[in-house]
Amino acid sequence: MKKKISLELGSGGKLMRDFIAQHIVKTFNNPFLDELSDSALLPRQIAFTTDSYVVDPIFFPGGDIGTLCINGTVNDLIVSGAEPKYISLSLILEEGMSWEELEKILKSIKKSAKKAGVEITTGDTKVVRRGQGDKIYINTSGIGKILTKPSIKKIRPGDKIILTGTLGEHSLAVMLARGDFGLESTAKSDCAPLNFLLPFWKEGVLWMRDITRGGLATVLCELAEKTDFSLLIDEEKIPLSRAVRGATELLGIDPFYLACEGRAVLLVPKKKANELLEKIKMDPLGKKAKIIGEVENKIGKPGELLLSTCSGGLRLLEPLTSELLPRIC
Amino acid sequence: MQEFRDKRVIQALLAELEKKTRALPSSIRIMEVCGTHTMTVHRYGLKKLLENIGVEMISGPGCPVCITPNEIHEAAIELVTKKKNFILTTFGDMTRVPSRKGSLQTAVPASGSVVKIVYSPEESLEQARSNPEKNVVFFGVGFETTIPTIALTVREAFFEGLTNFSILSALWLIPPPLKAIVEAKEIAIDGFLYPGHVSTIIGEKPYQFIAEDYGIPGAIAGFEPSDMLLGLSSILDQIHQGKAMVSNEYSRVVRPTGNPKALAVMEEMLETKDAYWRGLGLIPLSGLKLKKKYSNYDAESKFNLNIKGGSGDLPGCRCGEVLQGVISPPQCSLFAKKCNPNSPYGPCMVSFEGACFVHYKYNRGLK
Amino acid sequence: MCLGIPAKVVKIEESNFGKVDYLGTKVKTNLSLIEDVKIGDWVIVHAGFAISKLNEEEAKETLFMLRELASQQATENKKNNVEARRNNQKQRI
Repeated sequence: MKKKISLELGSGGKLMRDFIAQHIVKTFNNPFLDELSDSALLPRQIAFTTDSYVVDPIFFPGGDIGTLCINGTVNDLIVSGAEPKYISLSLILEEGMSWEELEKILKSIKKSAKKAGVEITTGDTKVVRRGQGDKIYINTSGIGKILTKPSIKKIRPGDKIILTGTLGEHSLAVMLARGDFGLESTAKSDCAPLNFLLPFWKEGVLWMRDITRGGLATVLCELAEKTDFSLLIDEEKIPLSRAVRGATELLGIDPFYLACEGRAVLLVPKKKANELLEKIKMDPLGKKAKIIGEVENKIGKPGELLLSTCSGGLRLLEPLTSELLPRIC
Repeated sequence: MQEFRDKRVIQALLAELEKKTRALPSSIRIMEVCGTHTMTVHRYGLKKLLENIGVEMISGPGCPVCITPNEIHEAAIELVTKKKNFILTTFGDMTRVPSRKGSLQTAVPASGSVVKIVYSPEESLEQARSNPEKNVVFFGVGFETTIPTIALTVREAFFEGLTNFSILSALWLIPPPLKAIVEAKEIAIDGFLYPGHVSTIIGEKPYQFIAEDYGIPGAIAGFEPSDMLLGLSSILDQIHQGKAMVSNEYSRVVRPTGNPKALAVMEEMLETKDAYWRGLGLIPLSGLKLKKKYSNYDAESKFNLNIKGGSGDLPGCRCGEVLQGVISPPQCSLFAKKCNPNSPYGPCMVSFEGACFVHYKYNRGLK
Repeated sequence: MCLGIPAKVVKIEESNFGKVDYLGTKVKTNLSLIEDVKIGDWVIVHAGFAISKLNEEEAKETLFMLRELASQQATENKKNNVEARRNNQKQRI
């Protein structure tokens, strides 16, 4: 049987990482790409990133594909240590899409760009035949100015992990908008630009990631693999909204794997952790921030992510292996 | 709910259990029959905590996705890939089970056909109503917990006169395989933790024979960590007192006689049949099928599927032995090598409550 | 597969359907497998169906017992700690 592309390849899980390592990096290899960070860090303090947005449905509580395509790209720059500056905007439209919806999306792109302090400086528009696309797909690329480069090598046991807010609202909001499973909830997407985190790069943050596909667990697993230590997080300290707690238990899914679009996880030196946490909490987007765990060299093996459960047990967290929800960003 | 998972409560319960196991000459071995219990054991990190106090948990046959033989999965794949304008609805886990014909997820549906994941069987009826030109087949799998919901869905379709709806059924009963496992005597089991939600439907009586005829203690338990520990505590008490019974430690949900309404719907719509279980082989009267009156809703007869009895396990796969509790997942040479969640080889690596998947996900490498 | 969650009935329609609420999330639920269901009842929801009514008395009893056990354990731990400290002191003396 000929091998075919499955939806799982695009889920942000291990399959996708293997694909990128074995096919993309091997084929196009160069020092910038090899880093596999959220943005390429180029000479002359330039950070460069790109992302495509295919969310279904295109409108959901708390945002739409327009807010997503700006915030997603802007956040990739911010967590790479760069101040976002310029954005390119490519639209792929399906024949028959309503004008009204397109105008609404353009409006939210404008609003989001303003909020994130970026300008749309170039773009492209294509239309495909009805049925060859789904209303609208957007690609944006972003250029930013590097303020500080992340320094994974400086990570030491005892350093703290800070999560900037509750998990999974974005995934849940998209699920609700799709009318899946007859669910009703007040959850709204957490989609937002993370500019408020930029100043903290100058205050000793060692590493930062926005939590998107694959959720908190996948993001931290990827970090753990890059260090010589294990990471231990505490289930009781991880902030979850009531809505996410309710929906995930009803459906039997794990919130640690749900996507957000306006949350980040930071690794900070032990000594600075409390001070940084207090500062992060001053911003409305960081109000629910918490220290959720730390870098370990006594429990587990290097490269592992461990969860100490609310019941006092210990379990291993793996990167996401199969998709929970298709097309959430 | 949080209180049932609270550290202090769990620690107190574990300390109680420890007092009880300390007096025993050796560690004891308990089979958790239900896959959802397997999940709890690993999800909350209880496996290790229990081993530390001399309680070994082994997984039983209670994962319906896992024990459904390959032939039925292949029939589902056949339907959606060969026939046009088919909507095959099913629960999420079912789409990933690998067979000789691939899985529902890797299969490329025929033109106009699609595989759709549902949360409730009833969502299939909505599909049938809004797509009258298509055939909707619900690939329905489950134990007594799920069976009434499927039976009721068919009943609704029957009274509504929906003619484009049917079910491909993989409906299994829990007590018969327990009998098979006890009779096979391949493993020594000191006690059974009975599935709380299956018991919600069938009550306490169907397990009595295990206590009375085979003298093995048991307890019905819920799915929160403290529920499970309460169940174990009762089993330990029985061992100490040298008696065997079916104690109900999930009395907030399980009535001694089960759920009469659900049992009545099952009785009305379904009849027992001898059925093949993956790993356990043919077990008399262990499966259910629609009664003749409703054969128009049975995809097997409606589309002449002629599903043969279980022989189609993939070579080298030891899921059968895992399901009987004879080996634990790492004892299979394919485990975490050829067979892993990214490319599962056997069904126990597929389901979110499959013993191999759960073992891989939560326990691999933990010291 | 046998996942079931306790949720509160918040709406009942004529057609045996209703809505249940779990931590603020509402989900459409078929109520026809249980008897005499009223708004405010707690039920176990499985695959979109309520399969059992929760017995609140029994639930409270179990919870009470768990709490008792936890507080007993806490006292015992405290006692052990005090003893351990005493032993330590003795050793030092």
